[in-house]
Amino acid sequence: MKELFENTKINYSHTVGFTADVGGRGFHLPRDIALNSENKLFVVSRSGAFHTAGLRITICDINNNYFGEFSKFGKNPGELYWPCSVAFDSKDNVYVTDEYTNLISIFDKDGKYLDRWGVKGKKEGEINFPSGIAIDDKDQIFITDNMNDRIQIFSNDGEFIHSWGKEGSGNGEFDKPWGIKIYDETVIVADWRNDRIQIFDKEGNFLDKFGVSGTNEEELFRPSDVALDKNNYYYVCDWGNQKVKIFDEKFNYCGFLRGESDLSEWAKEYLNANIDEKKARESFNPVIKVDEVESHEESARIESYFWDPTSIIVDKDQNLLVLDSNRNRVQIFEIG
Amino acid sequence: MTTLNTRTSKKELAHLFRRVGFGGSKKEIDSLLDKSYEDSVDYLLDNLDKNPVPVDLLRRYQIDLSDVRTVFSSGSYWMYRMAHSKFPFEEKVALFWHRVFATGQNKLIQGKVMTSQIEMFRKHGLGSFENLLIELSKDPAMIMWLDNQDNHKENINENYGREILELFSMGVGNYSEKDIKECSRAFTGWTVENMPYMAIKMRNNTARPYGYVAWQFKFDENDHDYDDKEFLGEKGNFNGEDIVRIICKQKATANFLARHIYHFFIKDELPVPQWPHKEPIDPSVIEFITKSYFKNGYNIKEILRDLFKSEYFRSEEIYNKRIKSPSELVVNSVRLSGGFDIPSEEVYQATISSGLMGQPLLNPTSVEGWQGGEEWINTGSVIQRINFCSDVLGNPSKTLVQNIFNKTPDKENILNICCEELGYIELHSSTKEALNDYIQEDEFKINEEFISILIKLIVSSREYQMV
Repeated sequence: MKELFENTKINYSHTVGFTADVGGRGFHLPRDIALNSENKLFVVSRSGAFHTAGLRITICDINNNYFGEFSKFGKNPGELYWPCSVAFDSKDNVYVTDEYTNLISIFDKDGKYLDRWGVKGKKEGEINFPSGIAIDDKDQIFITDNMNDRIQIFSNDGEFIHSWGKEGSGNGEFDKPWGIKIYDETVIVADWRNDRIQIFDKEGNFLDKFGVSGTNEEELFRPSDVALDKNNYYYVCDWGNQKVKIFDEKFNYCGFLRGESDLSEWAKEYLNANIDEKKARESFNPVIKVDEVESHEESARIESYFWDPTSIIVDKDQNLLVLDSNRNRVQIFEIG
Repeated sequence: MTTLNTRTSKKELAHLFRRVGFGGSKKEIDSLLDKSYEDSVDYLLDNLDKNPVPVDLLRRYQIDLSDVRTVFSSGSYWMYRMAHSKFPFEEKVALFWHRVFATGQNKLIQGKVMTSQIEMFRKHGLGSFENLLIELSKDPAMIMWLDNQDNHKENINENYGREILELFSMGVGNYSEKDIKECSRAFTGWTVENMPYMAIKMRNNTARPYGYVAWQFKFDENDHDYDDKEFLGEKGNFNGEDIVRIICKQKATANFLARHIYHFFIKDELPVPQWPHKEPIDPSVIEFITKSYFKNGYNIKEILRDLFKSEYFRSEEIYNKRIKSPSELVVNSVRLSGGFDIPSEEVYQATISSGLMGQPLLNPTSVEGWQGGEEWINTGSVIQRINFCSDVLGNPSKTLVQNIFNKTPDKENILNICCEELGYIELHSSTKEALNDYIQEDEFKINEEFISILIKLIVSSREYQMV
């Protein structure tokens, strides 16, 4: 139990997922997670350049139930090339951004392909590397238009509504924005290469920002995503520092998580079926003293730690879900 | 050897760029024309580019370059660095050590530890050879590659002990079988953290449950043989560091290293297995490098500085006398074309092409590495080489074709302009004659399409294959 801030503790609960790079139960280099209205967890596996069979969207839940998967690598309708993020409309239809094809693909809640839209370009309504996606209660689609350094809003059938932002580091400007979340009338954006979080209203009016660039404990380096809990604490996926950083509603730094995964149920089942590995793992010490200070390298050597955390959500039960991309799993914490 | 500040030429600088790095563009070569030759050597050796590519962007968009799990991913990550480094001497030297200390991902399974080994070459490959051999002996990829994790005080495994002498320092014929055993005893206990589990994940080739865990060196004092050893005529309670110290003061080590340096930076030598039986091509250069080795306290950078400033290196007799290795050819071509976009899938194609030409980066076929020289050329590899160079350099959307077109060439000077833009490549008179005949044909027009065709023809020549 780690006491991070007054009257609130955060406790590692368990892990969901494991490596499955050719499809099937598990994930491979996942980029994003989201929960639909039925509390089903959708995990977007982008997979790597030479493991394209691992690209798919997995449907499961945080209790290790596996419901199936859909989509595959490709450029045809229903296929994805470099999928990045996922969100749901009011009917639980699934919207997925694709940074390579510049398309938004739409599936129903069971993964049946419905439609796709998007045109590559710089003009209003055109997209270049759609990264994050969020959908509001009016089914308006908010996209971080990564290479165009702006936020664009579309109707759910792809009609352009409005946009804001341009390249820069001033208020309302962006440098390769990534994750985006909507809470009531507030839009929160992980302004990735500016090492900060920016907050807007839904019209794009700048409200606030926080985050100091750097690799020290209270600083942010390339934040990929952000989530809010019921007490308005901010949980930032500090991708470049390989941590989750926590800030209160006044943006005071409260603490961090480094990751503490143990074996998921799926991982245990795998090891039970591979006795030689299970036996060898009995002497495995996951947290060694690393002779290297760089956090990416440290994560590569310590299996329990986050290694490229890319996406973060707080569910309605105040569970914090952190997508641990290079480790192909979701680490789950209880906020109490 | 006296060192003077001497004038240089485009031709000589082009040679220097080809050997110190991966070939220079016209702009790069011209930029040094106001320096003396010696100052140009110093400039290329003393400036390093520590951040040649924005690593955050690579990891963000091409996500397999973050966990670098596969050999294609780790190779592509290196390819990006070689193709984009402003001062690629460090990368060239890393490539040299990769060839000498050949380690392959085909056995290790995970690419991350190979990426770390190359980073170790960057960090230590230009310092003392003694320090480099110690770091190599602690390198987790090398430990697992040559089974030193199975080298125990009660039951030695001679694999690493043998290869450090045979292939990495002295060469066959300069030590005894007993020396191998004693050397191996000194390296007992040099292993990796969590060895049993790491070894079985490697053996089973499994990334489950949570990907690979990058290895870290561990000295297991409980598994180290602390008894006295007798090695190359010296006796003591030697550890691995002591063994390396003794190795490095041998003239055989200096000679062996000198022959490798000659083979990579001067002229193609015979394959390494023939070295114990055949004299070097040019014994006087080997002697020169050997003297430099001791004079400079085994410092690699200073040895190479001496060599690059020497009359041997500056002699036109060695210009274009080595066959470009596949990786040199690929990187040279990509650099001349204007580099990769970020992100780009072209980097994967470049990495794969190097393999198809016979040099899969980070995956040599054995601990002997690639022999080089004429080994690079066969009917299959020549087609791969020509196709790759033509595709990359003749691509009209790349900056090379555009740069040439923007110079508004005519039929009289276009061949010369193309050769200059390709790093002052020198064509044989018969090649020039054939190309000029083609240029003078009525169908040849001065536009991007024909510039592209002309470049494809130039880089398909024998001359472009040489370095």
